Amino acid sequence: MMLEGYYYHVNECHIDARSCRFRVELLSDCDVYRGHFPGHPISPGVFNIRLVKECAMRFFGVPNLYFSHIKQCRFTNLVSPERSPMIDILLEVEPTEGGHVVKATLSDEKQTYMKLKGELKRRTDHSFNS
Amino acid sequence: MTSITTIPLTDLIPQRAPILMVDALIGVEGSSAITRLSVRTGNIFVNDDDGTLDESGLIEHIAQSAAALAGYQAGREGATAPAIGYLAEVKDFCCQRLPRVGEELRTIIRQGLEVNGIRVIEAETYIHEERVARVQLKLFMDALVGKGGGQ
Repeated sequence: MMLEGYYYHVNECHIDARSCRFRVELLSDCDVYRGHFPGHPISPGVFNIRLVKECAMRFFGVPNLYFSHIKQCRFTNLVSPERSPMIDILLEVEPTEGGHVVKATLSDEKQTYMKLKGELKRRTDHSFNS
Repeated sequence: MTSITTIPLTDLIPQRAPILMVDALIGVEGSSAITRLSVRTGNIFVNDDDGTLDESGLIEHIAQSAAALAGYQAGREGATAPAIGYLAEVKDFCCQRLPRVGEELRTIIRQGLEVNGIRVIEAETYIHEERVARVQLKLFMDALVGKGGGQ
């Protein structure tokens, strides 16, 4: 499952050598809000982890990455398509043995929603740290 | 462990389809619990290309497992509807491999102290005898929802 087109659209994307910034629009008609939670739409925290990963996959041009390790991911404010429809994602990456460490921040003009530090690897055994 | 497989999950947690990620709470003893989930085709977190369960789905399954234990405890204390818990932190998530469609997860939850509404959870997920993931979670329990009677 890809969340792009279901949970969000990418509106802007700026890519540098070791960092990138995305602006995404959350889709209020995403059917995940039927279940999270009925009558009380809150973006699942894990969807925002997945959102970071999809931005990283776009940055690397590699479709099958996964977080083998998340050192820390802190959720400091709730995300909802009603209260925070536009979200900025800032990624910084550093190569490791067999993968990349990613530092990510989700925020908008008002506040920070999530900070994550973790290591992405490929789902297959192939390294992608070139 | 006390067997409580007969309690419907929807009595324990507020999540619903398409993001219900626990099949059953299969045992509780003190502040520990075991849950299970079969990974099926059509699960919102399954990757289309290779049938793996995305790690975000694994974390959601673990968080809902912790919420199921919290809901069970709240029910014994008289709550009439499941409380909403929000993820506050994911710490030291280690994923040895991603589960696949057809596999059954068993997750062991160990609940630590609750301070200012934040509950600390240690969890491990197994497929048969193989541990596929472990993590420490902090969940913020929303005390205003699901407490029968009180305001």
